[in-house]
Amino acid sequence: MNGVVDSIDRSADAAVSGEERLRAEENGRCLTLGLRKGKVVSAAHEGVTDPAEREVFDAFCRVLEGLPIQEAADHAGHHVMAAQHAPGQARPVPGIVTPWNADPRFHRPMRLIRRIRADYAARRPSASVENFWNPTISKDWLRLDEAKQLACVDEILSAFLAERGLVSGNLVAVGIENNIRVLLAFSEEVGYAHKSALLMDFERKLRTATGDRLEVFAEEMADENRLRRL
Amino acid sequence: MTGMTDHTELILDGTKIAWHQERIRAWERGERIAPITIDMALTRACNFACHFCYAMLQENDRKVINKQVIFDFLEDCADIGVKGISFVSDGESTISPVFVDACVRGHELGLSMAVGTNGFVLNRRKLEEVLPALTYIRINISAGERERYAEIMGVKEHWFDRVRQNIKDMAEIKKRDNLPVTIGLQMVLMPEYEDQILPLAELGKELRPDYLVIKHCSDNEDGDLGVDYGAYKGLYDKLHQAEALSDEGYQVTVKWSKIEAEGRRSYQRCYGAPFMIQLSGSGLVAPCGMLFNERYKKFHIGNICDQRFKDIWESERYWEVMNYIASPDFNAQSMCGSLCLQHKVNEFLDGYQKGQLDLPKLNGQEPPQHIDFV
Repeated sequence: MNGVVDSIDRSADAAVSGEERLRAEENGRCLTLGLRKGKVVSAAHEGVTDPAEREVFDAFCRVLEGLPIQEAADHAGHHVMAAQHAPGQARPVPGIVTPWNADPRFHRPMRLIRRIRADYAARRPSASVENFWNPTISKDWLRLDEAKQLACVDEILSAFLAERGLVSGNLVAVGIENNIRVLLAFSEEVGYAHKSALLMDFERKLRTATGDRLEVFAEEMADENRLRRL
Repeated sequence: MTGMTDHTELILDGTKIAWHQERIRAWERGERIAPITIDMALTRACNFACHFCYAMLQENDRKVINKQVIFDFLEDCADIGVKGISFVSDGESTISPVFVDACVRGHELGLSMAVGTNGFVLNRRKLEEVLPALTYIRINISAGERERYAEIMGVKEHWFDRVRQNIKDMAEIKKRDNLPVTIGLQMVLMPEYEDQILPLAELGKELRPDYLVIKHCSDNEDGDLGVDYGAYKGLYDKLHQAEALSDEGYQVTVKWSKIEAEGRRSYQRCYGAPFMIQLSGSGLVAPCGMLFNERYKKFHIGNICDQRFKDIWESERYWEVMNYIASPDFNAQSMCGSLCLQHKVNEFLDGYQKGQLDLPKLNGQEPPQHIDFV
C-alpha cells in the first residue's frame, strides 16, 4: 500500500482568504487541496497526462469537495467507488471491494490525499485522527413532517413494487424514525427468501430518488422467550 | 505499529487476526475468503432469563437446527476452510438435543470447537462426553453470591449451587484426564453489578477454572438495555482488585479495551464480518449478531435449515451483504449497536486499510492459544 510521494509543497498559493492550500506531488502528478476549517473546499490536479488516469483524478476531485480532510484521507477511494458504481453493475472483484483492489489507478490519488492530510496534521499538534463524519440529511427532507416524508416514500415504493411485478400492499411503509429510518412491513404473500433482497434493493432506490442516505428496516420482532424480561 | 495486543499465552482482550495473514492477503486481493471463526447457537431457546441478555433483542424467524442440519453445516465449514466454531451467540446451545453430537462431530472434522454456556445442564455425564472435543468452555456467571446470582441471571437461588458444582466437575475432569480444554468464567458486567465483582473473582479462585474474564455489556444502537457506559469508570478500582486475585493457574482479566471505549467505535466500515460471521440459533446466517432481529432483515443472507452453508457462502447475496457493510452505504458508528463481537477485528483491519498499521512479522513467534477464534 505504500507508495513514494516525491514532494509536498505547503507554501503554494494561499490565495483565497481563509483557505489553506496544500499540494502533494508524486512522479509529476500533483494534487492541490484547498482547506477551510479542516474541510476540503477545492480540489485540483495537474500533470496527469494519461486520459485513463486523468479520469480517476477528476473523479477524486469531484468527491473531495465538502469532505473533512480526515474523511478524505480515510475514505475518498470509497466515495469514488460508490459514485462510479451503477446499480446492477458487476463488482470488480468477487470478494470484498476496497479502493486498493478496485482499480490500481486509485492508488496514487489516495497516497497524495493521505500525504496532504499528514502534512495538515503535522502543523496542528491537536489534530485528531478520529473520524465521526456522517453524510448529512438534506434540509429539503428534514423540512417535511413525517406524513409528508411517508407520502414521498410511498410514491417511490409504488414505482419500485410495480417494477418488480408486486402489488401495492406487498410492502408498506409504516413509519419513519428520527427522520432517517424508514420502517416497512411485508404482507404474508411475500416469501421468506425474497424479503432481504427486496429491502436492500428498495433502500438503494430510495437513496437514489431522494439523494439522502435513508435507512430501510423491517418491523421489529419481540423476544419469544417467555422467561426473559424486557 | 502492528495493532497487536502484547500477547500473553491466553489473549482475552485483543484479536488474533494478525496470525491469519494469508487470509488477510486474500481478502485484500478481493478473493472470497471463508470465515476463520463462526459464532453460532444451536437454538434460540434459553433456560435462564439474564437481566443483561442481548438475545432479547435478536428475535427472528425461528427454524430448528436438527442433527442433519448441523452435521451438513459442520462438513461445509471444514470443506471451505473455517477453522473454529463457537456455540455462543443468541441461545443456550447446551439445551439443544444435538449439542454433544455437534461438538464431537466438529472436533472429528478437524474444527476447533468452543462453547459459551450458563453451565446448568452440563452435568458430569455430559461433561465427560463433551470436554475432550472442546478447545474452550466458558461459563456465563455474573455473580459470585447465591441471592444476587438468582436476581441477575433470572433463576432460582439453588441453581447457583448446581452451576457451581458443574464448574468444579469440569476442573476436576480436565485435571484428571490432562485435557487441553480451557475452562473460563465470564462476567457480563453492568455497572449495577459492582458488588459482585470481588465475590465472583474469589469464587473463581476456589473453583479453579483457568480464567475469569470481566467484560462490558453490549447494547443496541438505541440503548434499549440501558447500559450506562460512563458509569464503568467508577468501577476501575474494584476491577483492578479483582485482577490482583490472579495466581498461577487462574487468570482474572478485565476487557479494558472495550470498557474504556465507552461504547464508541473508531471506524465506520465493517471489514471484520467475512473473517468472523455469526449465525442465530434459528439457523439464520447474518454478518453479525447485532443484525439478527427481523428489523434488520435487509442484512439477512440465508438459513442453514433451508440451504447448505457452502451454497450460502458462495452466493452473490452473501457477498452483496458483506460488501454493503464495508462500503459508505453503511456506518458502523451510527447504524450498529455498541462493541460487537467483531469490534477488535474491525479496529485492526480498518487501521491496516488506512495505512495506520502494518501486518507484524511473526517469524519464530509462538502463536497464542485459541488461534482459530480470532
